[in-house]
Amino acid sequence: MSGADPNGSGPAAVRVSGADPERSHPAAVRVSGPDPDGSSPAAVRLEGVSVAFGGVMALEDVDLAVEAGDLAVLVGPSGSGKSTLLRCVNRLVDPVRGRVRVRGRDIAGMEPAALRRSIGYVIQSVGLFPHRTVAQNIATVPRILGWPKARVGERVAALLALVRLEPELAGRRPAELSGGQAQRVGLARALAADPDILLMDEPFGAVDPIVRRTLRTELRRIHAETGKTILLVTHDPVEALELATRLVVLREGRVVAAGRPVDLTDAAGDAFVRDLFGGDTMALHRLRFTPVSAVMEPGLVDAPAIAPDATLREALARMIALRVTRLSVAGAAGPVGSLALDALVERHR
Amino acid sequence: MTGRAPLPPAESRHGSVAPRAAPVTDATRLPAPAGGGEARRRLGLLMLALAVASALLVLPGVAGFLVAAAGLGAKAAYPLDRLLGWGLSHALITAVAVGPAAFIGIAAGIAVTRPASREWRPLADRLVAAAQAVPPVVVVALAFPVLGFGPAPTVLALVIYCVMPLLRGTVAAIETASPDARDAARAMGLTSAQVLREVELPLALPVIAEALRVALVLAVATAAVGALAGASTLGTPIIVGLQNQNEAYILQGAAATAALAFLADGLLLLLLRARP
Repeated sequence: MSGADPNGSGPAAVRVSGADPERSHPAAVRVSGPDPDGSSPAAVRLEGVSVAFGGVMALEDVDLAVEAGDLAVLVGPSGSGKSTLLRCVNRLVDPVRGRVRVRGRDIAGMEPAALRRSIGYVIQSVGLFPHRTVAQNIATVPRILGWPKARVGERVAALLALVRLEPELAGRRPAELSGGQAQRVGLARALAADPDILLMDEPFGAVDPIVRRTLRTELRRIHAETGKTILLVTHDPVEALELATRLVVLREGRVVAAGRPVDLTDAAGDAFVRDLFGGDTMALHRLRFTPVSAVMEPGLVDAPAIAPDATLREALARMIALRVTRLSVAGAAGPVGSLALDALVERHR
Repeated sequence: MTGRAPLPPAESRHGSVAPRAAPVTDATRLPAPAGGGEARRRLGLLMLALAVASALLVLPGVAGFLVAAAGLGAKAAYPLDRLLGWGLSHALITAVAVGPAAFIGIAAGIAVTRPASREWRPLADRLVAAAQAVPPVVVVALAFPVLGFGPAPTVLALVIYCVMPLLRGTVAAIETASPDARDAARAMGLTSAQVLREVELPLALPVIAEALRVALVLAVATAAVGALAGASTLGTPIIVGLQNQNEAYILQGAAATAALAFLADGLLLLLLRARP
């Protein structure tokens, strides 16, 4: 899976749920109040949630619904309350007002440890247990849940494969891992008991940019393969745009915008949101939401080739790199059309 | 860990103990062991060598010769079996005191680091500081009328004295044990008891073992004071020597106390060196 995927949700064929949430859940766009019709409940729903730390409001009156299968990215400047919001979901933080529902159930009455075991959590610093091996780290929650040894072993092997770590790493200590490997182990550990919801707090904060990019691609692949509901916190707007099927923009403890990335980055949107996503260059980020196939023209040309499912962003980069204004669009079965620079500029969403 | 009375680093903590404590607490000034197992092994062997060297001074012939050579005249020295008897009793009193001290210190250290009992931290800090500030000889003197002549006042003094390094060591060990790992454990849904068992204690264990070593050496060195209250320890020949102006007795008792302290330290260093 490469940049060919316009919105980070992956081709429908590999999704466990068999559906692309961005297209099949138009309801996810709304900044929701209480579920009006009592239909299938959101995976995570916040209703009028306020959090105070020593008299300072960290979150104020937040309403939010995250549908099952979403990869919801909470983005905003530091101090905007995005991590606090995340921590409300598994009761690491309790709101002073409002209600948090997970899978439709109010979590205020749930036992925190049991709730947390049902939700994966990847913290920024990874927090691997230094005295345990990689395999033991991953096995933590299944072991506590009392899974039989053989099943735990199988699960660890499957998770190492899912996060693409060599099986030989299973016996290593965290100190012997690279930053990227440690992040992958942290993700595998969070997924160990197969939670349907995964919380990730700046999961790629501590690795270098190249590893970061690889891990983002991996996360999109894993999201597509597992169909988990993921809430991810980042302060990096580009990372947010690349990952999100649903964006939640926070500022000073309030949700200022929530919806599909393509809608939020509309030039007519909120000034704060526009600034956050690059101001005048936001249009360049938007190119990643449209595939080449959407704006290509019929008729074959003799020009450098690009795949029909590549994004316009990749197409533009290609044109600039090769100093051409026209590309041949070619799939696995051969050329299918052409893409001209003026068509790209005029027709993208 | 912010907002709480910070513990000084291990080295200065040990160093700061000595000036206001009984003179025998020099044992706590031993160089803080370096992290490496090899460094600890060498330090342990050095301590064993010092134990052997000190033990040589205990031999009646050597002690008598040295005292005579120092121009103090020919003095009688205790035969070795008398000193062995005091040594065993000394070791027994130390063990009897360090056991409960370890239990109290470690349990209290765990208790005050629980999130629910955080408000007890300042009180615990003050208590251990007070326990450390009172010299053991004063505790022995105060306990003497109540507990009577014999080993009991000494054991009590040692327990009070040794709780301090153990409590402080346990608190420091738990608080410095990877806060990230602890947070992750909590976020993954481990209960506080599981966090303690799975993460905090295993990570804190090497530092707690270190505190136990310091406490044991402290106790071995300090137990000599108990002779004042009738406890049969290696302090006994020192007291007898002081009363009878027999420097050979004093030298034998002092050297044997030192040898025992060096021995305990050396053995524990070698025993604990495998720790990461």
